[in-house]
Amino acid sequence: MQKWLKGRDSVMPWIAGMEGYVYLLPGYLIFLAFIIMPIIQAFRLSFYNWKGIANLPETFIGLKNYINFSQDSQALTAISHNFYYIIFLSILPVVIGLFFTFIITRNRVRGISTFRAIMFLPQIFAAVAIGVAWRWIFNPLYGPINVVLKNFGLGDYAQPWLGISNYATLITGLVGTWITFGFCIMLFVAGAEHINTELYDAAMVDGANSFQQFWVVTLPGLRNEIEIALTVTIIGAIRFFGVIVTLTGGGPGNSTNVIIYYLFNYVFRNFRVGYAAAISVVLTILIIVLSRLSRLAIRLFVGKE
Amino acid sequence: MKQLTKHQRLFGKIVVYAILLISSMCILVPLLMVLLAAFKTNGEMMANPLGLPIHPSLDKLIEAWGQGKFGIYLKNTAFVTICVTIIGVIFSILCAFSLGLIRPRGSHFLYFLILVGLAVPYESYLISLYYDLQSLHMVDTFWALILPQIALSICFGTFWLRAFFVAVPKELIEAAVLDGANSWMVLWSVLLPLAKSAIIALMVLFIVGTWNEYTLVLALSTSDAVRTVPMGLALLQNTRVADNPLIMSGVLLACLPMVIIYAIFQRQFIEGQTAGAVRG
Repeated sequence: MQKWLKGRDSVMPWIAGMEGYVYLLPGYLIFLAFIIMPIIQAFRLSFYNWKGIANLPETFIGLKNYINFSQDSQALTAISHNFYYIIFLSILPVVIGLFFTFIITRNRVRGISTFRAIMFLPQIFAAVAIGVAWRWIFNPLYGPINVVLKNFGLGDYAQPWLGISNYATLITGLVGTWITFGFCIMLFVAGAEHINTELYDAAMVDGANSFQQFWVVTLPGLRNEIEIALTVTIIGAIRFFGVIVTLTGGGPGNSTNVIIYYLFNYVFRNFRVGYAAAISVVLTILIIVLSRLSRLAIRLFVGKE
Repeated sequence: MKQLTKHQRLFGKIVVYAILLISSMCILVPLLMVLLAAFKTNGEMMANPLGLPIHPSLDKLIEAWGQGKFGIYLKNTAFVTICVTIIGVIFSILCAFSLGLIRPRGSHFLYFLILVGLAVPYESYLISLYYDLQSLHMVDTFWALILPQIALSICFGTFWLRAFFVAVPKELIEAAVLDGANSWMVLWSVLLPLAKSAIIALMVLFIVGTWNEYTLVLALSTSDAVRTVPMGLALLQNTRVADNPLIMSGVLLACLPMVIIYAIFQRQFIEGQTAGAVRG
């Protein structure tokens, strides 16, 4: 039995396989019970029409939930907002990060560790806290933005910012950028330190100016970090929720509605559990597809080393 | 390459520092405003919305603690965070050790499931989790908040530590075994000391992640008995709508513990965020 339980590539082959299972048991069981099982159930539920009340039977409806989803204009609009936020949470921070890397690396900059500490700060605050804080900042009567405008005689420009759809979506996006851009900056700056300086010397010998050096040496050298930043931030944009709840509550009308907000607010409250499960499955697939696509895009567009 | 004159180089340096300063201000100024607002009263807020509080008062902070129930929320959050972090770290270590080094039969599949758990966002199965817990009458209990977050922590922690353990030179392990160590002693005396910094980084990530968790708490709790601080803050904003100093006090109380953690464990937190992302 012990022999059978041994894996083939164990680093510690002298240990009985059973011991391995004993170490796994408590933690892995919790993992199975609270992650794997719900995943399987969500997948299964997506093919049923369940109202969430234990006594009412569920009826198998096959792909109907998915078909309904493809025609659900509110859900599709919500997802389109998520894509809009990808620009602000993902692409813009990455571009900003690359720009900062361009100006910081190869230059001796003092106080970089203090700068790094400040840049990472938004990552430790709860999303809802950030939403609440920025909601106050853009408060039409007492928020700093409008107060400053009025004090400087620009009172005409003072608006109910978060009450106007176009401004609300833009501001929400910018708050997202505020949260993420420091992370991207420091990820790239740290990554750039691992680039072989000989490559820069070679480029200089070939007559490259600093921008060309960045394009030809730094950028390809940062491929992994860019991939990671894009993947992590795109996933964050799809899962964007806490900030939306407290900053805009879905925005004036539905203008800042996002897919998770839609999922919880509308679908859960209306007890369309099967439909919610279907949206959840679509969400997972969307995240996986977008991760692959971003990885592919980097492979294609950022040159080889 | 064109040689820059001294003046051009100085100008370049000034521009760089200016850009760094501006971006630092972008992050710090909003935080400062929130901090100042928490120490004002309603009256002062109207009279002096932007400046330093002339008569700094703890009134709103005390109100947030008591009437705003933040005292309760902070207690709940601390309890959940400590439980999840300690148990999550311990079980992550055990699972990473098993799946990484001992590798019993089937461990590759088991690890694959861990990766699946990482790839699927928890929002996707939060709803079915809710109904599972409901049938067990565990909704709105501390179990409902702690156990799923332990699971999430184990998922990431196993992934994170397994890579670490696998990188340990085999000779060290074999040497310990030659000295008569069993698996537990190998773990305790060889692996853990080497992985100390990784484990601390993991703990910090768990602490911050659990403390700030909102979506899960929103779905799985319904009453103040177990409510955590992020949820409490969202509620405060909705119920005390015009009371800005109170709400900002809430923000301060919600964020301060994590700021303290960040001040102490800054290096580990940043390391956790960046290295974790790289390994992902």
